[in-house]
Amino acid sequence: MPVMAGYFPIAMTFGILADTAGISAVDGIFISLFLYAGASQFMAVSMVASGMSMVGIILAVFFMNFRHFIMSASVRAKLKKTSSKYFPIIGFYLTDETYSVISMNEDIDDHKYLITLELLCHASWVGGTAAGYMFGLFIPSIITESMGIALYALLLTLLIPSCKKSIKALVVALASGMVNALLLQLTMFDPGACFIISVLCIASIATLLSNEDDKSLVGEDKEVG
Amino acid sequence: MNIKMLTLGMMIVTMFPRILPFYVFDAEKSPKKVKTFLSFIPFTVLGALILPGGLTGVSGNVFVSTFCLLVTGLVAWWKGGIIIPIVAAVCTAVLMNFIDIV
Repeated sequence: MPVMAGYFPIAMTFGILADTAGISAVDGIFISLFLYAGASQFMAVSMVASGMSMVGIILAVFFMNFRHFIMSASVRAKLKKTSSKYFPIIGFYLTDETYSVISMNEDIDDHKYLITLELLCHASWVGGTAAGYMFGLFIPSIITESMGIALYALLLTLLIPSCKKSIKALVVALASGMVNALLLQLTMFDPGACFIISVLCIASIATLLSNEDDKSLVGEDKEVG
Repeated sequence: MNIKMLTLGMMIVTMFPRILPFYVFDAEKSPKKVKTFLSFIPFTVLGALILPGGLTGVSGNVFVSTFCLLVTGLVAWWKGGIIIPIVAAVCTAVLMNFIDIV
């Protein structure tokens, strides 16, 4: 439910943007239905609008979404009872947001729970896109602009409960975010690559330090920042 | 451009990294270090998803976006839940944008 609430406004924003980029409602909903990937959908729309070639766009999306490799691997590690016949469905619907909810939940080894959650999120995403096409013109821009924060607010609220339990979670997340910001500043790599490098580097450092006490982890954060 | 063809192309390159790991990794057999490593992934993923993108969440305005994230964090910390912090964030953004216009 909460993810659906977070998804709907973002999907509406996508519908509105795709509409202004000259993508028909049928095509826009088609994208949400089959691609179902938040950031890369926005990226794809802006690339279509800028007249990039189809191959170029597909390649960019590939690099962008390669990060899901890490997320899927991390979900896989938690599934022990779940039958492998459900893996393609669970994997197909694994987005940044569903991953965030799933990974913050201890008890996920149940395909019924996972697939229900994922399908509801997808429905909200597709419904939001359609709503964006239908009502986009009637919503004042002050509200649509403010909606942009909803997705980040959602991700943050998923992170906070773990931070309350252990400062480690906050430090690791902050370090990863700062490295990502730094790499993006350098503009040497593609945004997808920056994301992967940050996630893997900080998780590796945290793993190496996890045999020691928590203080060393905090020290590392200062070094990175 | 044919958007449907483009979408199918994008879908295939997105499905590959989403589904493949489920068959490549075996949770039972992976060593302890790998498990520890994977246990950190959710937090590093969330961190890199929020920063720096979140700082420009409200139409590129760093001040408003940062303030909204702080409000979200505080509400989530004290009140818990998910919907209330998100509503708080969006309301803060609307309010700040409104004040800005006036």
